[in-house]
Amino acid sequence: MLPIRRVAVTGIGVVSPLGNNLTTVYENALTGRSAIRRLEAPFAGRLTAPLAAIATFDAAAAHFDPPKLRMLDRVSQFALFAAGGALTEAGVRDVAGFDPGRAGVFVGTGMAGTLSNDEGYRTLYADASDRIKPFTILLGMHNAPAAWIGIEHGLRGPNLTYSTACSSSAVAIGEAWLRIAGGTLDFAIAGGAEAPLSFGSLKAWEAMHTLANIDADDPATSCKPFSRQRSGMVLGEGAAMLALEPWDTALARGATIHGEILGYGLTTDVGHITRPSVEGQAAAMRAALFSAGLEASAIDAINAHGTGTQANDPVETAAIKAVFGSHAAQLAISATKAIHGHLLGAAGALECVLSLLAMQNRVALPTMHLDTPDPECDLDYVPNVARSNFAARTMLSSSFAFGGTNAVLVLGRGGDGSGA
Amino acid sequence: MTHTADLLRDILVRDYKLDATHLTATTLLEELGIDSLGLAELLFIIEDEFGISMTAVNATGPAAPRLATVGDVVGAVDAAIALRDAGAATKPKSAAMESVESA
Repeated sequence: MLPIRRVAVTGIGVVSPLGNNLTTVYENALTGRSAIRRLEAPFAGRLTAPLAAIATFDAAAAHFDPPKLRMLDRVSQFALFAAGGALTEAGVRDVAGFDPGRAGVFVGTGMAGTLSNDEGYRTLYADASDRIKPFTILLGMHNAPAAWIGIEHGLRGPNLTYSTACSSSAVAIGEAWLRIAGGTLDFAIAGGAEAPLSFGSLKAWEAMHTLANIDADDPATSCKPFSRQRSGMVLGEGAAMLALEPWDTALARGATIHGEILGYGLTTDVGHITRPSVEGQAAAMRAALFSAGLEASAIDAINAHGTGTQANDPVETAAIKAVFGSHAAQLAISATKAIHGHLLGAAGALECVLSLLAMQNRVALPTMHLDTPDPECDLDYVPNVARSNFAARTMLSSSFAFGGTNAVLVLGRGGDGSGA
Repeated sequence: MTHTADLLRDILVRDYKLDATHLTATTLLEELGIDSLGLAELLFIIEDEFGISMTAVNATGPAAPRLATVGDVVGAVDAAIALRDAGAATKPKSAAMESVESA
């Protein structure tokens, strides 16, 4: 599909291990300050490698109404805070100026209310009590974060939740883009939220053998995408939300434009439930380029999926080479999960935000903890130090998931250099 | 205020961040942001704190009389306390755990 309307990003809100406002998030991403830490939790002693990237978030500071707060799992608190930030930044209070029926909410989450579900299971199975909280369903259901955003801000159009594991929020942004570009929607909050640091979730991820070992010298450097020393990913938590609207509407109302969604590619591996495939990832990148009407040579940089697992990084490198050929070596490739961890269903949205910030500030963000190159990962990953005066006009933001859902967003800097 | 009212006020101040000076027997729960769903949770907390069963005094469930005010809740709690003290209100056994263990 070729888009009918250009789509602008006019607001961004975040809760993340790198900070809860854009200035702090950008500064930390630029300087490569890792938010990964040894996990301090009562159950940490039962984890093989207790690591996490935690968002410092005070629900009291977010001014939730106390009776309502009792119905909000941490994942919904994150989602509401980030959506509120995006709407405030967009200067759109209660979608004023838009038809609320043509304003939608698109949220990706992999594990949604796992903290509340975990607590419920503990009550039932560990404590052998039947006193499970009356709000457990409301707290735990996957569509709660999206529903609360719609309720809070009066967005009456589609309210959709996507759960495609690690590509959930890239899918959410892409699906919102499709509707606005196609003319069926005039405004959207789109992004992802994840609060996966429950004991049950961490043990389950550990059992998958995908989590990083602790770097004894400095736990903050434990996630090492594209390095030969990589040992896995580190779970993180947070939310990132974008306010999206037609480009012309944004211009007409004088909104600040943070960038542009130019395209979206979505493909599915059908070979294996977890094993990534070069063909699948490459197909998603090609589909994204096609939807944006861009040649591969028009792309300047990539925010890679870059999990730091043994399986992903060489496959992703090969997929980039398959799509870009000789141009692959010219791409600045950033794997920011090294410092903010893997936010699962919120990862694609946070990395989309970091990509927009990098383009606005004309830098390529560094891939941290990359001291030992892997011969199988031999592209330009911007190792350890940000590259300034790097005026990317266009970027891909890639998210590849268990289940095989590969989602790639094409992003433009907006303004004069949008590339569109 | 009665002892029960004091304890209920403490819960509302602690868990719902409400201003104690605005809590009287005639205060409507809806005014406090506690709707029927919220009441279900409030009664759950009360059951834990007071060691009583609100189901036993017909304060929960579809046939329950509507508890509209803080005073209504205090009255229902006092009834449940009386029933508990009479030895009639016992905690239900954990049927879920039994079925898991026998599976």
